[in-house]
Amino acid sequence: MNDTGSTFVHKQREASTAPAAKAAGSVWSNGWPSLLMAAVVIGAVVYSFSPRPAPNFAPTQIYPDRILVNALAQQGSRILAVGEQGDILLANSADGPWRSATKKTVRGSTLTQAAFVGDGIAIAVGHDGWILRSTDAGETWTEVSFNDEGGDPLLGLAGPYNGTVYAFGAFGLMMSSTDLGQTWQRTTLNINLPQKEAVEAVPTDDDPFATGGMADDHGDRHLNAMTQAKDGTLVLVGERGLILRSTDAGQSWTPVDDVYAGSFFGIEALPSGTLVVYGMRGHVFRSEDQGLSWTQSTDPLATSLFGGAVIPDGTLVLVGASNTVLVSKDDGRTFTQSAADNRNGLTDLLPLPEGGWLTAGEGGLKIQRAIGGERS
Amino acid sequence: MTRTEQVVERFADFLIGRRRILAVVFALITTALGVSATRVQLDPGFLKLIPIEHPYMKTMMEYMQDFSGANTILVNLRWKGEGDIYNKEFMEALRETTDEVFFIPGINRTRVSSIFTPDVYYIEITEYGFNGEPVVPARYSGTPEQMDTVRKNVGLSGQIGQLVANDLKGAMIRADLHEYDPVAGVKVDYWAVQSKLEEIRQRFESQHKYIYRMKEDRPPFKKGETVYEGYVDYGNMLRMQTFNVLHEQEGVEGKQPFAVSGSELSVESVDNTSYNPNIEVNVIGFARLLGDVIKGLLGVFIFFGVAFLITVVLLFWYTRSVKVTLTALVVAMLPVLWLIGVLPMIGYGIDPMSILVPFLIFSIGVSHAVQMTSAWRIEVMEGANSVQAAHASFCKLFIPGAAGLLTEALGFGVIMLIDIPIVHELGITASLGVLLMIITNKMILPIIMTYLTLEEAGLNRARAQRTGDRHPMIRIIGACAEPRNAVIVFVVGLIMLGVTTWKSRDLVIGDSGQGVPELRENSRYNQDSRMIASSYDIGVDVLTVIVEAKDFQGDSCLHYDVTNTVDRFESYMRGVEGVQSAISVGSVGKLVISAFNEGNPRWRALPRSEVGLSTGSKAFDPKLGLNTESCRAIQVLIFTKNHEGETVAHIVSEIKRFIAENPVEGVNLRLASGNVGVMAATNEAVGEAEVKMLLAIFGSLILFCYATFRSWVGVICVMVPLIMVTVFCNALMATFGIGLKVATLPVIALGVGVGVDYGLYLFERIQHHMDIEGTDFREAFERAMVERGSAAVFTAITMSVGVATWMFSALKFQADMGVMLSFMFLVNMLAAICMLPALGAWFYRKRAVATAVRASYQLDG
Repeated sequence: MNDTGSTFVHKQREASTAPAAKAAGSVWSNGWPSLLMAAVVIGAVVYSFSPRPAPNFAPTQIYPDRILVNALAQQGSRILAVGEQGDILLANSADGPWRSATKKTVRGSTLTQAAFVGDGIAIAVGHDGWILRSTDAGETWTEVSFNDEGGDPLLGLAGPYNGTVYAFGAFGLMMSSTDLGQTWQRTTLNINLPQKEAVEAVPTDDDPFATGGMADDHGDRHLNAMTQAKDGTLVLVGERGLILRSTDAGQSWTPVDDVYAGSFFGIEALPSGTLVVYGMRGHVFRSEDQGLSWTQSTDPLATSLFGGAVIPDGTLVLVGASNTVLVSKDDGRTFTQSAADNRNGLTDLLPLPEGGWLTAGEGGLKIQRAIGGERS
Repeated sequence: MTRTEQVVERFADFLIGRRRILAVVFALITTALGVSATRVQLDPGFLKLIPIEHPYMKTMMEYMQDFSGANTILVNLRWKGEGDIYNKEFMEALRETTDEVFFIPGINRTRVSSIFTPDVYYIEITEYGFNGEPVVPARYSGTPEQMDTVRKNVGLSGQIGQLVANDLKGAMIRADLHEYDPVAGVKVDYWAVQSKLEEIRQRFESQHKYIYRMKEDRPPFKKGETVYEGYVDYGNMLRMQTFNVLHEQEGVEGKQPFAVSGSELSVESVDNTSYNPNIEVNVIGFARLLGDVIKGLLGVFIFFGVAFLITVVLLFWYTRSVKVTLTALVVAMLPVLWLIGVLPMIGYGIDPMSILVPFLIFSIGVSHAVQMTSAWRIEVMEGANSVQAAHASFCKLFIPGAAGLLTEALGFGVIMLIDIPIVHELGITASLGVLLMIITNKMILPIIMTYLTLEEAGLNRARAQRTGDRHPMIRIIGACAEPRNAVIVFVVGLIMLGVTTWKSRDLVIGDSGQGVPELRENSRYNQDSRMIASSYDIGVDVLTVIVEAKDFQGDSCLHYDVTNTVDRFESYMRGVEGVQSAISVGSVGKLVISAFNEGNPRWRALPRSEVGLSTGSKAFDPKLGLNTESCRAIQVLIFTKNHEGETVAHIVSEIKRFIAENPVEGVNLRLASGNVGVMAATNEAVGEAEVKMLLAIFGSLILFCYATFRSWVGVICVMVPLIMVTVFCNALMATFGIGLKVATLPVIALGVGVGVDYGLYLFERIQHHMDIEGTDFREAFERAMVERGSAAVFTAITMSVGVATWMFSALKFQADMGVMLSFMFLVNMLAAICMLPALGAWFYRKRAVATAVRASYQLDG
């Protein structure tokens, strides 16, 4: 008792004279739980304030509904979509998932058309005379042609008709390939002008691309679409009412004038043999004689039409500005608007087996259904 | 007695001895500053809120003139009735409102657009070229046929999504406001603009119309004369409203404007014949926002009043002495008055954010005044006269009090590390306020106390608090100071720490939630903003990237490299998550080129030749606001889905990636402008400052603590609870969705600065009792609790209740600050009275045993 007591009196005195210094030794060993607590708190605060991880955002990608898609192509279940900035998207189903194809050369030129021309062989064409080819159903693409210096845009692709694939575009640009798109030859349009007939002079004051209303400007107009009639006649349509027919596989072309002053953007061949051309401000014409004579069809709207598709049962669907989707079940005579209008123009569509369509256009890719329960 | 104590003692002698002359001096200073305080001005400023030194902001300032974030007002009329907007009733309302907007003071009349203004055309591409007409025909009278024409024209005009809602249930008027009124030549009065906008809204939304008549004759007005009719119910705010009334005056031709104050007017409420339940009016724009923020600010004064009343009640309950209560309040108000008086002298004003500083200073002032008066009461109760008691309490409290105030000043000063002018201002004013408090609290208060006598009730109360059995609460809290109980405190603390640390990882830098961050998510402004954002293609959150192309020949936009880079960047940004849309000369140029090609989308491409690109030159017109003359600089507008901190950070990092991966010679992409650009810069500045600021404040507090106590144990006991609460606070912010931003980061520093007080006051006493009187730790702690702790608990509660009233503020950042500060005040106090003794209990464990043994030894002896 005495011992401990004196020790304590001693300690106490020490503590009072130099409190902090002397207490330290025992204080630290006694206080280990407190020190541990302090260490944990410091660890926690360091962890709490260490750089916080960013949440997971989807990687940057091309969203199929945020780009301009100019054309669709389908073979089996594989669907291709081409458009703005040379983007090529592919999917195995209309509802996706869509992914970007691999291009060996990136150009950034807008693609305007795409088509399958053989088993697994696809071709895409676009601005600056750009032609791409894929032999693995659109997975990878090789550049076939590109014209950096003042190359005119290619606007259309057709064929193969008797083994020839055609690509054509602005100012009468026409190219052809006899080896499914591996090599291309540029050809000039050889147009037989009817001798005595004067071509209607079109007022062109407001059109900076008009090359004048001369009678012989057929060869300078933009070429937008081509198809093959039942008898093998090729029919090519384009700017300012241009309709050209060729019965010799494109060696020479004969114009069919005075059908319409505005431009045609597309042509479809129906299973019945009827040809249907369509273009500006809702103008649709049909021909039952391989394109020699044309009669205007009934279209409820006055929106320009930029693309179309034919379903094997003979139904024709045309698409255009303001989300126009026109359906005709009477061989192209009359059309009914089948989609709600909105600002997005459409350029192409694919009918889906389960009804409805995959549409392409300014709003990218979209699956739409006919309004009013109508099935196409 | 140490040397410091001697110095303090001598100073106390001086203070008390010369108290008459000093009282006069202080009274004069107070009067002078009081006069100066009347000159303080509301000084809100946009530039104060941004980190001006940040590279993004330098870009923004450089192009401020070229791409002014146009001061746009959007007034949307929403049709809630049957069908779409194409009906006579709605169109009439839209036409009238367009006219009303036209007459808003300071509006740029050439930039008012709605489908009724002649600048809104539709363009039809025909076989023979373009055809354009105004959307609403010149001879519009509202016939059904005309309605169909308007519907068709609107469709062709491309205004759906711009001036007409996507769902055809609304239409809007877009207008730009001048900074200077070109007619009057004066700076535009935003308050007048927002009043007018409110009238425009209430015209259709209010069921009542208000007619204002003169109460008395005042030439040229006669009693009872109707001077104004409007739709806004000003309620109690009427007296603050001024109406500009045009009236004839004798001898002067034409009507003259007269300002009539709301207090001169009587109001009559009649039915509003324009009221239409089918029409909702949404208004957004900086002018409207400023109006709402100012209204929110006025609310602050109500909170000040409420906090004041709460403090009065609690103070009286605590002291039961009217005199002491009044003294504490006056002394707490003094530094506020002095501070407001000093502000105009140093060129500062009051700002929506710094308006909270006076509040804070008042709270801290109450806290220190309570400590001081409690000490004085104890002395008085023990028999000293007022003068002796004042002298003694000054001597006892000067060191810990001044230390506490200095740490607070330090804490507030540290927030200046955030390189944003408003935060500097906040730091300077808050530090200054606290430093002024050393004078008011430590010098003026003792002088006042020498003249004070305690009433019987106050004396009884003081006696009850002091003597007899210690309050059971103190015994319970004192139990924390036993090592065994300390373990329980540790375990509880560790569990809370674990949970909060995990939760705190969710803290976001920047905003969370939707809408403008100044206002609450469900405020009318944010509702309007959401309504407009959801029904139009117009984003309210925009990040701008400036593309510089200075060294190209001729128009830079006619160079494929430039325009294509812009176009590719735009396309890339559309693929970034969090981006809603992007627009620039790239996409607009392509649209124009396609329009010149019969609207064929397949022509929507950029030609590689200069000649080809010139087709799109309409898109490169500087008047469109997308580029400067000759495209020396081009802005890419990126509309984001929201402005949450994480989204902004993601988008910015993706932009940086594009810039790094796509170098183009002569083309320089620079971040950033737009409201989201400002946020990105602010978030980066705040994120960078966060750790720096905390290291600085904790580092300096540790040094300060060590200097005060000369004991590392003291440092640990005081700092560990404080550090713990910082983690808790992070978790609180993450839980309540409060982001780390300009308004909240300083609050953490303020909270820590104020929170350290409790620990400082307590440990100073503990050390005193253990070293001087040789008591054991628990006894020392309990005594400290009696002497300082109860006052600390009281002030913590008072302060947190006071700032908690901010939670009801209409301004979101004030509400956030209120939540955080009141949490920090309260929880720091709790941590100080529980965790501090628990930590100390183990450090001084052996000593406790020793004392107990000594006590028994002495008994034996």
